[in-house]
Amino acid sequence: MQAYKYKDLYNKLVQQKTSEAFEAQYINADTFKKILEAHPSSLYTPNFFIRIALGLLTVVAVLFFGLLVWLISGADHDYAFVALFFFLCIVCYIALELLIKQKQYYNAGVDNVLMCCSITFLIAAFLTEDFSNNDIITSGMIILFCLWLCIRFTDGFMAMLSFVSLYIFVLLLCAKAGIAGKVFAPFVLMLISAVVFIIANTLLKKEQLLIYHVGCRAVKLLAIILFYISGNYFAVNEAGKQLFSLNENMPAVFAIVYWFFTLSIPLAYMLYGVLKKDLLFIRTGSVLSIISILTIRYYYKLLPAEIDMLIAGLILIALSYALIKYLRTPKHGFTFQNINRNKKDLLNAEALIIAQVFGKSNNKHKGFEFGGGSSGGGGATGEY
Amino acid sequence: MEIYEQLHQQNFILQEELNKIKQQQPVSVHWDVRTLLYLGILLVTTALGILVYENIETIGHTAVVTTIGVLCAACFIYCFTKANKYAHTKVQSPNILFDYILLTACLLLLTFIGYLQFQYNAFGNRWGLAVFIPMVILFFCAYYFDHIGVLSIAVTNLAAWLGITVTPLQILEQNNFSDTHLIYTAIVLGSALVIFSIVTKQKNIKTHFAFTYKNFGVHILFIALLAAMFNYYNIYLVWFLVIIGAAYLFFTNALKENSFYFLVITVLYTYIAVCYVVINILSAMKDEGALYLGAMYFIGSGIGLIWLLIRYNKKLKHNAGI
Repeated sequence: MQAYKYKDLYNKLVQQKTSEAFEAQYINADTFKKILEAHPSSLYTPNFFIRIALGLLTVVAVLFFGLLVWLISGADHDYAFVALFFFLCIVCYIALELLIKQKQYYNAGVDNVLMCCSITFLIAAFLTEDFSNNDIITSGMIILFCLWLCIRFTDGFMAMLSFVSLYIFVLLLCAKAGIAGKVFAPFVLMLISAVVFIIANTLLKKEQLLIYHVGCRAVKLLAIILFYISGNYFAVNEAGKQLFSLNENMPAVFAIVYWFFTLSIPLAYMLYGVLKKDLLFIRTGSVLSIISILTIRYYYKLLPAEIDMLIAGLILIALSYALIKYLRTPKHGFTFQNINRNKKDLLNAEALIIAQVFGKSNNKHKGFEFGGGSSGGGGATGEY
Repeated sequence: MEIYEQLHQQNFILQEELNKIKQQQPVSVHWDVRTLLYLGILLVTTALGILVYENIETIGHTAVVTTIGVLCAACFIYCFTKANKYAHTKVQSPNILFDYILLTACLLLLTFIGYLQFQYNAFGNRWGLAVFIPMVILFFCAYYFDHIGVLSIAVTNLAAWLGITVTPLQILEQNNFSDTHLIYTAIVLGSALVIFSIVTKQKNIKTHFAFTYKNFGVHILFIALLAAMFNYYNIYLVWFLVIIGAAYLFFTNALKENSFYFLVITVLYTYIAVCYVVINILSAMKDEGALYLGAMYFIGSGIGLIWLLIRYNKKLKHNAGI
């Protein structure tokens, strides 16, 4: 199923996990070294900055390849463009498969951009020509295509894109389903988000899907965000006006329900996060509560903006100061202490070990590339 | 979790190590709380700025200047009493809040002096002095208290004193690059910053500041050189050679220092210069074939550079930082 060898993906994961454990000083350098030595991975993931540059250059190459093909083909009407976009989509996909087969690029910038280009060309091909329900059909196709890309290249971003397309797909379907569909669209969307969350959470526990954990976690995060947005008063009200051309504000009964969602969901996330010691929920809850406050401010301007800012700022300073004092010694499973304090030193140590280990195994297994040890690259990016 | 257990079964991880991993460790909210604190300070200082601006008539200038002055002085006094002794090496700040209070003090100082000049014309027509004095104080604070954030503000002020805006988001918008005087100033400033970063490293004075100087210097220098090339159309090839020369120096230096970051920005700036020259030559051909040639050039050069970067990425050691 995957474009990469399972062994490579698994070993890469082992490298990442043990780096984390080593950084937090759970395992000693000797164990770390032994594990790295026994788990070589030939996947190529370069340094963060190189990745950005490779991505940019790939965009340049793809764009001008498209231009050249267009010049040669001389396409000048809609159907010709549809064919052109399909052709480019296929070329990008084939290039992706070939590069991964030969060079083992894994999140190297090139592969990420080629995936995105392939999707963009597919969307363009579908939307060039006007046919009935083309938006629904397009989003439906993108769900499947992104899901395939996610499975084949174990890519978390594609999993998220697939979920977003599913969300849009359902939203568009609701818009078609008459007045009942329009009224209950937010609830249907919340339900979809909840179901996707549960699915991702179940998949996360399956041992044979270890290599998809990053993708599952990304989908989980997106699911809790979309769950909130589906019930947010501002989003529902404005989407009703824009998408469903409902006139003016919604009836009071619904308004109460959506205000309840807007206010309670972020708090519930934060509470759940604190109880379960899950930073994902605490952080998401904090960011979403800011959005809730902005939503309230949009409809009810009680104080001028600068006074609000001043009060919010003072509360934040007081809160963080209190937290710093309170969590100086760990309490209730939380601490202010920086666990990865010596990240840089550890990184250097890790990098040295990696260089040493892979320098050695280079002699042992012929043809094994030095670049395989780039798990250090994953860590080194946290530096800047 | 499963991975650690599998590794344990394969006898890589000892039982005690596995226990350590499985044990509920306290969750660190270090960076979360710091972000909250920073956000709070940002909100309060911005809100105060707006409040002062909007209520200037009712509050009165003297009151405003005095308040800002007193707040600023209070922050500085706190910093001077708490600070650790100066050393050429990296000095740890005494506590978490110290860095933020110092930053607040420096930001307030800028507002204070700007306000004095704007309202009371304290420095008369010598506008430069109103930028020069805070710049000197900022550089002093950056070194004395060892604060990289303040150093960045100081370098930005140095550029402002010379008439150049170097804040990352405004560097392209707010500078008039058709002004030849500005271009030459920027070239000199960029080179000076790069040279200064090398000198501080050799003399072992606050070596962790070197990156900030070099980062500002390289970007200013390359942007100024590119502006020079676009501007002096008649002799653009001369400027192109200068860019290639500078690029060669930075490229070999990046390889020597194992810096992926400088390797990438050098390659990208040089690529822009090369593309400009190629487009110029192609448009001089005045032929439809030039379009095809151009497209082929971009495809080829894109793929070629990808190949080159990957090659050098493998060459650089893995302990490379940024």
